[in-house]
Amino acid sequence: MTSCNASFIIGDEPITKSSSLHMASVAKKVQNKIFGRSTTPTPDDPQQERPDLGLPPLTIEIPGASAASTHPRRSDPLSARDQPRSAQPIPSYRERLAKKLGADYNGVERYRLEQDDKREKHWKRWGPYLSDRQWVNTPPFPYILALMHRAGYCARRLF
Amino acid sequence: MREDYSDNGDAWSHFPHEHARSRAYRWGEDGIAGLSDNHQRLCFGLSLWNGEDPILKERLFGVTGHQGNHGEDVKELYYYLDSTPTHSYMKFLYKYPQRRFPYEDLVQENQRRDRNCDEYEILDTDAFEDDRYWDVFLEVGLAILRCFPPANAPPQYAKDEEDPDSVYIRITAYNRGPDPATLHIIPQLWFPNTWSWPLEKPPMPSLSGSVKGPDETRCISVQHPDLGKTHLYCLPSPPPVGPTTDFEVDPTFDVVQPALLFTENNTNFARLYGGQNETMFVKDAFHDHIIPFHRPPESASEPETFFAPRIRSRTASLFAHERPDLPEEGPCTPFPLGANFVNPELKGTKSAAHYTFRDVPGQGGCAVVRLKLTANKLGKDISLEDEIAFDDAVEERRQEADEFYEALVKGAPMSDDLRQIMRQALGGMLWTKQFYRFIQKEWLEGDPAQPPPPPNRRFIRNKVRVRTRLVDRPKSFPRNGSTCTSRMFCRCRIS
Repeated sequence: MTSCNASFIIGDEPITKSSSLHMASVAKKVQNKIFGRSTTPTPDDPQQERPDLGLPPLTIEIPGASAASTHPRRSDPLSARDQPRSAQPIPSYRERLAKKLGADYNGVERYRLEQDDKREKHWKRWGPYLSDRQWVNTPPFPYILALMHRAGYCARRLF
Repeated sequence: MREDYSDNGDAWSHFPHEHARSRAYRWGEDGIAGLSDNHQRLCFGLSLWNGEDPILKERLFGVTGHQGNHGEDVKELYYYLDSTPTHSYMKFLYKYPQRRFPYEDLVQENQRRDRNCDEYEILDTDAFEDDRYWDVFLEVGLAILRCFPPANAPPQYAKDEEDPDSVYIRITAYNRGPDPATLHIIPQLWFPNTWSWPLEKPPMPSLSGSVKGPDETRCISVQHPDLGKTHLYCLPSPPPVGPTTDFEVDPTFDVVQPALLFTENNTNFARLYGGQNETMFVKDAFHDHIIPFHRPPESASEPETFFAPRIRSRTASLFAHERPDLPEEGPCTPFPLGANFVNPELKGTKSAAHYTFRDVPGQGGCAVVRLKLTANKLGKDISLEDEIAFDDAVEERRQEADEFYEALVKGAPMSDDLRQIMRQALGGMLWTKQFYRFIQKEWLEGDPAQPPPPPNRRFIRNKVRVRTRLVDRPKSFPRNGSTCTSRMFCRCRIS
């Protein structure tokens, strides 16, 4: 939707006007189509749930991620010869943490976020903080102003 | 963030893509699927070579504001697939053509088109024809050490088993083309250049290479005045395997050991401007070392030294309008016959592990590289010797990411596809966090050890005087004008 004057079709309704009211109603329809009505879902009656656009519901075909993909390994690593594993499999970190925290457990990642917030462990020390391309990627100048504003500088006083 | 040294705010012409591999960055680093610490003291990035390109693929390519008919635009296929808020699990996909990457074609065709035409994209070229390309996945997992107890002993876990400073990195490349092909996977580890700008040199960080353990694991040791000591272990890789379901490795083939390469992260003034280099080894050394036709033409007459003042034909500029067959006087990289581009003493401020996978089978053949950044010593960390332990750790991080995102949309009336879209969208926002080093005083006044900036710099765009350092804040830079949603989860530290 690059141009408001272009004629495009959503559902069965051609749109040629650029009035904001019209655009808003179209946006609403698209939203309804994707997410269903914004009212509380009633799983008992899915037919009523669908907005009546006279069209089949939107379907998106995404190939699923392959679960637990295998990766090639060296055929005979030295460690496999030297260090016989214990017969008992070790429970995963999730299972161990769930056992440790009991009812307070609501996921390993949440636990890490809490640890990071409390500054017990700095889980966010390593991250993707590198740019993809330093040579041509830039935030607009207002972004720098916004950064300064957040740091406590008033934009009016700056100029 | 672009580097801007111009006096008119026209940063593109002053720091084009063809300078980026030879010139040290002042304000921030870049890299494909790059990682760094929150102060950007140590950086990791992926680089690749298909045997055809004139340069290593170590940063994303695109057209600048002047070259593109709709302004600047990246002309690559790359995907942020997944990330958790703490980056305990991340996944990235880069699609790399097996043909020569159409650098010149993309620039020329986009320059030719006017703004009413469509943009000329990478898929409009024949770069990916016949599926001759690589799918290169990079996965990152933050460490939780798994200690395998000796047999018949009750399980005991080390007290410090939760270690945010250990990072698993697994790179998996699939050959999607019909024929076997060769791929060079060159992960790089380097320090941003913080020493070329002040008059007095700060304490220098250093990288050094060694071979350790019974598997002869190549190891890059990091010594940094603030970060302390850590290591990047480059595990020996299994030979490339065919597209079978179980990826069984043929034991008659040798394991693939990487060659460790070292240089200095300093500008190659000789290549760019015909000037004097600060050090013998410079930022673009890995291009010259790995790619024979990246090197300047060897002198047929007498061997020259590195700093030979003689003016001779210029190194062909790859992306500008110059033609390589027209020699012109100007900068060059004088280069003695048989010289090393990389430091034979395995020391420096920029390093790489050069894995070469020859004849990876077509139709889904696979090569894998496992790396671990950790302060642990070899022999104390089972995942450095046991690939099963390594893969299990990464798989556990993936399952924890599943758990987190499932909990986030629990009970929401969303289809599985929409959940996947949301997860990938949030992953993309988290991947685009970026460290932003901007010290305005230094930018306006220039660096004491460098030529002063043009006087106009004070009066364009940054007509702002503040006494502040806006540093050390990784920020999320959304693409395509979308709104930043990552603040739902991340509260970046301000120090």
